[in-house]
Formats: sequence, structure tokens, C-alpha cells
Amino acid sequence: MNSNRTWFYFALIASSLSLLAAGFLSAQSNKVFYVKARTIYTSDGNKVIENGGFLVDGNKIIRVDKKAKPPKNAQLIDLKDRIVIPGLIDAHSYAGFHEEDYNVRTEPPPPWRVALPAFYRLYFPELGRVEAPPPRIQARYKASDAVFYRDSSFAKPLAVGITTASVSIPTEYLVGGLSFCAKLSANSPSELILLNPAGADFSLMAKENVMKRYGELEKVFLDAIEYRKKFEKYKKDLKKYQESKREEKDKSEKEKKDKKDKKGETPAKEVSEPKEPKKNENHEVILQVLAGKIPAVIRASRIHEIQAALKIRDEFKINIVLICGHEAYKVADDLALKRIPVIAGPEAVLMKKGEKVNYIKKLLKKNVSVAFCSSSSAGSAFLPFQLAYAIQHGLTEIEALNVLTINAAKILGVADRIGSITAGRDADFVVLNGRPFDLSTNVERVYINGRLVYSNE
Amino acid sequence: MKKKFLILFGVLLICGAGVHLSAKTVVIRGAEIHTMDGRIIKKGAILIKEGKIAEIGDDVSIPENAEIIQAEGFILYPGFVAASCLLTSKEIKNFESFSPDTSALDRFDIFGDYTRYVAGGVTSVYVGMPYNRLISGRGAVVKFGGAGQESKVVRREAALNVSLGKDAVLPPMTDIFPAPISPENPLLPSLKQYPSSVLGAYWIMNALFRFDQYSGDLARYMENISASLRRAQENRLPLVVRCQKAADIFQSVELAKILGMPLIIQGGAEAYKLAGMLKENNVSVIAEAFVRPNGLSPKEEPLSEDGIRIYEKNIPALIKEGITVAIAPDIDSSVPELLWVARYYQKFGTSEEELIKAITINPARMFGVAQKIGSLERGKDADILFFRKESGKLLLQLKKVMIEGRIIYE
Repeated sequence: MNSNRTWFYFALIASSLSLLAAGFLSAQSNKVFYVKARTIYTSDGNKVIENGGFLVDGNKIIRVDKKAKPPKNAQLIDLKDRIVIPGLIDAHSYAGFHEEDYNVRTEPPPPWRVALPAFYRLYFPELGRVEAPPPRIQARYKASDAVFYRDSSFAKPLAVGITTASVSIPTEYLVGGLSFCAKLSANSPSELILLNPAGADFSLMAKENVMKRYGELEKVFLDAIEYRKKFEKYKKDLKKYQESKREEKDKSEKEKKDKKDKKGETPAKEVSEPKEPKKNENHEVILQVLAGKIPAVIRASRIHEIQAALKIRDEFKINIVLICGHEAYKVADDLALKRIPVIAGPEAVLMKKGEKVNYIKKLLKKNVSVAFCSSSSAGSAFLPFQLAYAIQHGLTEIEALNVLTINAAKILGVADRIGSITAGRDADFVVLNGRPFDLSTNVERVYINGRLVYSNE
Repeated sequence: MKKKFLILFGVLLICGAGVHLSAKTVVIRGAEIHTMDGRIIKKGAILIKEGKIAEIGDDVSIPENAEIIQAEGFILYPGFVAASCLLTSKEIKNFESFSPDTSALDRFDIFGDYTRYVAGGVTSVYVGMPYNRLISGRGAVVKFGGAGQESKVVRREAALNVSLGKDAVLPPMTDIFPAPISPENPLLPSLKQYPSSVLGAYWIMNALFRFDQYSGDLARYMENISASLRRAQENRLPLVVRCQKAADIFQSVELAKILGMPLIIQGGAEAYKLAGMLKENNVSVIAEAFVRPNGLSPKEEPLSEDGIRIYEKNIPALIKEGITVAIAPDIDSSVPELLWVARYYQKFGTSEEELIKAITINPARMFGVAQKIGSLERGKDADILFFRKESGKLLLQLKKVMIEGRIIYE
């Protein structure tokens, strides 16, 4: 009886404590507030709401109203004549690799490159430029392992309203590694990451023959398939071996019984134990790409490179995303039909034989999904400015905003979390003092997960 | 007699053709004119005679047989002047540390096609020398011609290009250490004379201007170099010093004082820290804008302090202080987008007028060509940009470019 009572008290105290703690935590994170502004660009079906508002509970948007009706229990943030847009997305950046050289060496440089003395290069300048072929396949490297989360390139883009970036390893290698999608400001890396891995980087861009690179890439996939076959064969053999062992065991037991009766019978044919093939993490990653779990993000700019990428896609039935894609407008119909998205950039408008070609506009006209990227560590901060330049050359404001928000979110596969001001999405939004992309417009506040992370006051 | 007449007739014909080409009189009417000398004329008119502005104002006298351009709805600006453009950089190798006798004009292709620049409204440029030498040479101001027409030299020797600070010390392409200077090994060959430290750069810079101290082999070797340096000093050629750090800017102001030459700081990322001193010494700044409206995004900013974007702070601060500032992009491929590069600074609180001054009259003043280009005033060249406002566009759209009274781009 006594012990029962102590247990009861103990349980009571424990439960009340946990309830208190839960209440305290929820009070901290579940801040309910209502945002009211003159214009809200939702990026959700090109909707622009005038004099509307939306309700934020904790880190999510609960509902969006066409006419502002703030509930009584929520704190009202009246932005008056300000303009609200969703947090912008850089679809391919090298944020966090800022401190290193442009080509971050994930493998040590070859010894002869280090040992070659400087004066030797002076007298034989041609020799000095000889570089060993770099290790070109590094599929197993993860950008999230090497990135420096406290880098300034994570904080700076907030000042222009960029809240999310897909971060890759800055290389020009054939297989560059795994990228991840992260929000640019949070307390810990685990909170930062939206999706990891977000994609496997490939590059078909090369100074040498395009077909050579295509052949190399094809070989990467074929090798992975070979590797898979080897493992399948091993599994089959192992099964056979185990079965034969079991049979042998049964037989030997039988034999023991039979030994008494018969003598000098030939033993059954023995199955040797199969050797386990060596594990290869590069191949494992490529197999995930082949299985459609990770999209292949292929860097291709010229039309030949893009066609090579399309060929790879058709051959291996993988999901691909094109990066750069300067001449993708030449095969826009094909891309639209196959639903291949393009992450354009870092040029907003192309110069072709003295003519300016707005390739983003051309792709959007043919219903190709287009996002925009900086492909650099410090360049994210110029994305809105670069798209303003594209607007001058034919893009519309809404199209430009979609390119930086919902399109990018869809291409990166995180449209259920970010990319628009819609009920159920994360509360990532930016407050502007003028029309988006206008040159005199300033970002006043940036919210991520319902928290104020940047303010220009 | 017949022969004489024929010759006379021929001469007259040639003269007449020449006169006809240059003496075309043009009147532009009904446009909004931003003269960039502080005036904005709503519905103004310009009379152009022989490629120069003869009259400008609300109304002008229209002479007979003048070509009249009705420009209602157009907004006129003077042609832009790019303060830094390395059109010759590919031609120069980096194996010398000082070459003041080289001129950028020697390698400038006068017959080149510069439509790309003209299409962006850039009519004149300062063609500089590459930065990776201590003294890289003399730059010139040129004016682009139209398609198939030759460019024109506005000023043959506009400035002397110098790099101080990190740029001049062991530039990227060479890992050669300087040989110690001795009687056996004087400042010769220049290949080996790269300063290995910033201090060394100042020392060599100072030593180069002490012409009277050379003797023997050294004097013979330095003959060309010292002659051109002496000429530069006597002509008070502006010294374009490329440097970024505040300490280097301070040193170059001191150096320019000693040499008695006007100073232009190029780059000058930290110039805002010395704004008062620069104003006092009449130093102008070619502020490098780290903005690329089109083209590769910058990999990283060369200078930044605790996440503050220095480049965004620098230019507005300098303009506020009243220093003559020219805005120039950090790479050549952005030069055609000069207007975009300048307008980027609008959101940091600088007025549009000041920003456009920084790409027209200010660079013209720096390089001593303000009597010819940079603004729309009486007696200046008629380099005029015709802009038009279009709905849905953020900036004005450039429709026509006129250089010296002739429309060369449409």
C-alpha cells in the first residue's frame, strides 16, 4: 500500500513536471501572429493579394486570407504599405565553401604538383602547367560534411531576401558529390537542413570533346550496374552455398546413420563459399540515382552537352535536372515533354553574336520549369538584381518571382515545405519597402520558420 | 587650262564631300534633356554643328537645311564614360614589373567592333593598362566609332597606371623572387625585379623617380623608363593608383604629394575610411563596383569585414563626402552594363543624378577631357543617348546612340 502511494506521487510529480516543460517549450515555439500587408505575392498560382493577411502558428502558416481578419488571440503585425514575398531560393550555390579556393580539393594534390620547384616552372613554363588528371568521380562526398555553417556566405544573402539554398561542392569533376538543401539561418546544422542529399552533381561541361565526357559518364552508370549485378550474383551464390551446406549437414547426419550399413561411397560435389565483392560507396550512390531516389543534377551549358545529358537520361531512365542550360531553349519542346527542369544561371541573359537572348523567358514560354542559381559562394546576394536585369529584357515580375520561389522549391523537391505563402508551408517570408526587383527596393525584414532573422533597422 | 580646271574641280569636290560629312547641322527637338551639369530641361532642343553642340536650351534657332530630329517622349543623356576598361589586357604578358613607356593605345584596336559597348550607352572609355605591374603604362581616352567606323582618340596620354599593395607584389602568374640589387646586378633585368613585399613596392616606386641618382649601366638601362617617367611628371599626368586597403591609399596620397602629380585611386574598397583626407587633397576615386548584372557571379568578395559588404558602403559614403567618384565594374564584361552597375547603388540612398554623374562627367573630369565629353553643354561633342520609358521595364530603354552628331546605333 505504502509503496503504491509513493509510486503514485512520483508519477504525479513527473507528469506535472513534463507537462510544465512541454507548456514552456510550446509557449516559446508556438508563437501565434497575424501578418497584414498592402500586397502579398503568394507565388501560389500567381496569386497576388491586396490588403490581405496570413496567420502564422509557430513555424507554419496556418491560413491565408484574401481580406485581412486577424483573430483575437494572435499578435497582429501590421506592415501597412509594405510588400510581402515568400523567402527566395538559390537553387545551386557553394555557400559555406567561401574560405577555400575556387576549386576545393577534397583529395590531396598529387605529389609532383607540390614538389615541382618554382624556378623549374620559370624556365619550362609549359611543364609547370602540367597537372595530373584530377580524381573525377567523387560521388560519395557529401557537401554537408565539408560545409562551414557559420560562414558569412550563409548570412549575407538574407539581406536580399534569400532564405534557402541548395549547397553543392564546388568542383568541375565528372561526378561532383551530393548536395543538400538548407535554410540559410538557424541555430544548428540539423535545423538548417531541409533535404540531404538533395541531388547528385554531375558535370558534362568540359573543354575537351563532349562525347568523351559523355562516354565517361555512361561508363560510371554501366560500372554501377555491373557492380549491382556482381552483388546480385554473390547473393544468389551465397544462398546456394548455404543451401548446400544445410543439405550437407542433413546428409552427414544421414550418413552417420547409414555408415553402419554402407562403406566407401563417394562424397557429394562440394560448393565452395563465394567471396563477397568489395563495397564501393561511389557505386552505391550511383545506384541510388539509378533507382530514382536522388535526382541527377547535370551541369550542361551548350546544346551538345544538353543532348548528351538527355541521352543519359533516356538510356538509364533516371530523373535529371539541368544546371546552367544556356542553350536549353533550343530543345525546349523536348524538355517540356519529358518534364526535365532547368536551373538557369549564373547569367540571366545571354549574349549571342551581339544579340541579347533571354533564355529563361524562352524556356518558360515552352512550359519548362525554370529556377535560377548563382553557382558561387558570394553570388547569392545578387540573384534579385540579376533577375531585375532579365526583367528589363522581357521577363515579367511574376515570372521572375516564381523562378526564385515556387519553381525552385518544386525542382529541389521541397515544395511541401517552402516556396510559397500557402497554408501548411513554413513561415518563410520577406518584407520589402517597394515592388520586388525594383532597384530602389530594400529588404526590411526576413522571417524564417516564423522567426525574425534579419532586420535592416 | 582644261587640266587646271579639272584639278580645281576635283579639289572642290573632295572639299565639298568633306565639308558635307562634318558640317551636317542637326536639331533635336522636344526631348527631356538631362545635361549632367545640374540642369534638367523639359522639352528642350539641341543644335548640333559639325559634331559639336552649338546651342542647347528651351528653344534654339533653327538654321536652313538643318536635319530636324523630332524626339518627343525621349529622354536624353550624355554618352557614358567608362573609367576602367582593359581592352588591351590580353596582349600584355606579366614578365616586367615596370613599363611606363608602354601606351595602352599601342595595342588598342581602333578598327575593332565595339557595338556591344555602344549598345549599352558607353561612348567613351579610358583604356587602361593591366594591373599586375608596379607601373604598367599610360592609358588613353578613346571614343568608340559606329559599326565599320574607326574609333577616335580623345586624349592620347590621359594617365599613368600604377598598382600598389597586394596587386604589385608577386603577381599570380610569376613565382620569381627578386634578385638582390648590387653593382653587378642593378635593376636589371626587370623580370627579376618584382617587389616581394608591399614595402618593396614603395621603395622601388620612389627609387624610379630619383632620376639624377642613376649612373653607369643602370642609367643606360633606365634611359627609356626615366625619360617617360620624367615626361609624365612634368606634364602632371594623373597617377591612377590601383589599391584597395586604406593603408595603401594613404601611402599613395603621400607619394602623389611628393611627385606633385594629381592622384586617382582605382579600386579603393576602403577609401571611405579616408574620405576626409581624399577630399582635402583633391583625390578622385574610381570606385570598383562589385556588381555583375549579367555574367558570372563573383566567387567571393576580395575584402569584407564581419559580413559587412564594403563595396556597398564605400560608394555611397564617398559620394556623400563630395569626392569626385567614378563607378566602374570590376570586370570588362560588365562595362556594357554600366548603367545597371551604377544604378545598383540606388537602394543604398544615393540619388540617381549623382550615380549617373559618376559614369559621365566625373570620369571625364578625372582624365582631363571634360571640355570635350561627359555632359551636354555648349561647345562639347554631341555624344547623346536617346532613352525612352517603357511600361513593365525597370530602367529606361536605350533606343538610339548619337556620337558626334551622327546616329550610329539604333
